[in-house]
Amino acid sequence: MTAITPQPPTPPVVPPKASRRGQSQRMFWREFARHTAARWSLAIIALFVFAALAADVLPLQDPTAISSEAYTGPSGEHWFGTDHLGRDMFSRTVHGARVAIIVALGSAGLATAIGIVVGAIAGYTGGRLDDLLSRTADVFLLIPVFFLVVLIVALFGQGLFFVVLIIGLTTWPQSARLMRAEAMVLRERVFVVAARASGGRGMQVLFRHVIPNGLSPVITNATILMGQAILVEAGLSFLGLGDPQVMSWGRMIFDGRGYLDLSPWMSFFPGLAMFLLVLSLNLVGDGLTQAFNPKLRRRGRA
Amino acid sequence: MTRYLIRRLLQLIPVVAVVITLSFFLVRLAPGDVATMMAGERADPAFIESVRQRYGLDLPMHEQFIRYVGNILQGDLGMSYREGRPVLDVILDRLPATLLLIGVALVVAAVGGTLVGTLLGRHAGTRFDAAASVVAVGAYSIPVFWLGLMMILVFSVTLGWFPSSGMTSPVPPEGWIAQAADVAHHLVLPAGALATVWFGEYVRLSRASVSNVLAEDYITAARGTGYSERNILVKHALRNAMLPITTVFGLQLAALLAGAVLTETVFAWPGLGRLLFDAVLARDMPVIMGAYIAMSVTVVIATLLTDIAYARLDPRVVYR
Repeated sequence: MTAITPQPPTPPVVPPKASRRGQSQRMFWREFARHTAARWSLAIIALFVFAALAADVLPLQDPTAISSEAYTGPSGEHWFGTDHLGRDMFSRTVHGARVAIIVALGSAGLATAIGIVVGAIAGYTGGRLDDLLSRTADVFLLIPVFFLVVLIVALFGQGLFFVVLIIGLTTWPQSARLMRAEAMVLRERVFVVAARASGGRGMQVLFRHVIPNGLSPVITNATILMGQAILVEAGLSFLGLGDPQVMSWGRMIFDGRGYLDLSPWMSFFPGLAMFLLVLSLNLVGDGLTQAFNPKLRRRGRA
Repeated sequence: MTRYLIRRLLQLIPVVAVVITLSFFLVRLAPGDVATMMAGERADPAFIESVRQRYGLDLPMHEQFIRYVGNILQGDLGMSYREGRPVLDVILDRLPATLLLIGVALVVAAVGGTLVGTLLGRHAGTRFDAAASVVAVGAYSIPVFWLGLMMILVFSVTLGWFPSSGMTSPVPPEGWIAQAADVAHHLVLPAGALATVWFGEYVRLSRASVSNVLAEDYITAARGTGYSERNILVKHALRNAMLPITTVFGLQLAALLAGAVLTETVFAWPGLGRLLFDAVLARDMPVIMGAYIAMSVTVVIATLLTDIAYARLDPRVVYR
């Protein structure tokens, strides 16, 4: 029982890249989970996404059904009260999540995609192209985008998808800046140089090696862009430039402003929902920043 | 210094050029006749024709563009058909109210936010800091127009402490001291709503900035020489932390103006925001375009001023 114990088999050689990636992902989530507020925010966002997806299936009252019970306060039957037309505000608020999520994903997704491509090309190629793209981004960073969006929407119409498109097309420069800074550093890194030296074509190296490795600041920025896009759409609705066909929180707050004394819940609950969602998105952004740069926290502790 | 100024001024030209070109082509790409749009949907044909003549809207595109740029450079932003006056006059009339609102809110938010942020930066990493940071993020996540409505609900409708709209009482009191107090009374809610949102931004900025500076070697050195903690915080940390705070102010200005517009709309504050809201309702296109151009130029000039202030604050910046 003592002499010959079978040697444990030597562990198989795991491809180092895969294991390192798994490990770093675990570390990333551990670091993210340390941010208590970000953890909770993720749950709140999930709740809103669920509301947006399931609004039609949930046992809610018809959000458009007009009844004689106008201006009633929150009760067992109408959790969030009713509006000036007797419509159920709880159902309307839940349905409003849909527009908010569409705006957040559509606008921020578009802005981030443009930012990544423009920024990566500018930072990776450098030279005149970089000058041109960076100058363009700088100009758009300076222009007060909200007024430009107001002008465009007033001129061309206020359909929801158009508004999403315009917000996306005007808010990309920050992402481009972040991606450019990453690409300029990555360009000189050994693995990128190696990829180039082993015959990788420009675009191939850019999309396979540079962009995937420089995404973290852009992703963090995307969560913040989502919150901003929701606020811009709501602001447009509040100026009377929202899509009249859709149930958006901004529109509900706009409708409720004339009934503050009779039925304050008309604007209170949609605004609260918007505040919670935007806050959660911003806090997740904070959590991501911390998870991507664990040093920040450690230095903070010192 | 002069050369630095000239160079910075020249850098602004492309921005202004893009702003003007965008507005020119947007209006011409939009559905509908440009002259009708400029004169108002319900204008009589003779007036539409006179607008067409005056702005040369029947000329070829490139001549129209030259004329358009020339007009803007001379301060002619078109006529507001809602008010029957030049757009520039209408905008200049409303500017003081907006500047008053923004100025007061900004000072309150910047001073308060920087103080709180410095305190948090000093205690970065503690539980107190984590909780307070969430509150700061919360402050700038609030939709400002919703906050305004809720403040009206609490402080005007329910408590009756402050007026809910306007800048002066319907019958202004006698004497300038009483009049100033009247305006201040009207200013509390809108400035409070704006300041709350901006406050969060400044807390966040100054917290990050101060906690970064406190990790620098020269702070450790100052501690080693035996300076008091308070002395270090105020003289060494805060001074250096002010630099990023100044830069970001310039970059944030565009967003600040958007918030101001929405706040003015809520409180019927007679500034540019309210003007824009009324113009949107009436589809008074020249005013909407004018507001966009005026706001852009304002932001560009403010950015220039911030850069100059930055250069003055930081002796390491060389004017070249």
